[in-house]
Amino acid sequence: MEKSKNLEKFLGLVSDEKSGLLEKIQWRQANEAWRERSGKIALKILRKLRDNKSKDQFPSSQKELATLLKISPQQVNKIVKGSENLTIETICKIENVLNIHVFEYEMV
Amino acid sequence: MKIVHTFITGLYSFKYDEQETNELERLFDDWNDFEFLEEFFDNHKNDLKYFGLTVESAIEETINEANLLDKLLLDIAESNFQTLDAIFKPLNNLEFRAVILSKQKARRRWLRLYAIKIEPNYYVITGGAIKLTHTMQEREHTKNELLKLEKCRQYLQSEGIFDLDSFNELDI
Repeated sequence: MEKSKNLEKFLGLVSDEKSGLLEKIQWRQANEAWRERSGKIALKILRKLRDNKSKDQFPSSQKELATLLKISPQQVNKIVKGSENLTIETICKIENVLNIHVFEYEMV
Repeated sequence: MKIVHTFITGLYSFKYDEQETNELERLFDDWNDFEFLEEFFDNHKNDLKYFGLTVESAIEETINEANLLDKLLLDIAESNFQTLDAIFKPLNNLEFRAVILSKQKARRRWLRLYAIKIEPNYYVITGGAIKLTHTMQEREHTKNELLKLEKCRQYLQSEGIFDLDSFNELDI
């Protein structure tokens, strides 16, 4: 069907720039299982930092947490966004420095 | 500002100069970002009381809804029979609402995408929001979406492009 002049003008305005949305959606869907757990960890960290801040306790920011974990603030930021596939070692360090339980452990 | 293709035929998105990504991509990034969601819901704790939700449970439900939206966009892209007009439907003279019959309904449905309709089956996303109130005017972040809409409309008109005088909302 022939396009209207209005639509043609609109399509002429559309840039060549590509969106990365499809790749991001596909990545999220492919990594859904561990992302769910990573997200729960991220939320526990964020709530603990906020709670510490309200009580003037250390650490109360991502930067302070990075110092304690001996990693960069950028790495901490990836963790709190919930998109990091964490190692068990990192999870244990987080639990220790923040005094939180991330997972419930079962004795087998 | 510029207009960008999405991977869905007929669906485009604005990209504002101050943003690194286009609106559709940026919104989906935010709605899957625990840091963003924790800050947002902590700032809107009072609104959550109306729903009887904690910040944690609000985030969990939002992530669930965002996951369904991911799947919805993939379905639309792969669908040979579903058109955007069938997905965006008018709520009132200001908003369109998408009515999708899906097997898995989100418990919470407060994620919104806002779009200008250029022609049947041609929409351009102007923005979106986590809408916690009945009307957009009740909160700053949703009021801002109305300002963005008007800015986009003026931009299109300055380029000699006229929309169908409708503001559309996607809701699953």
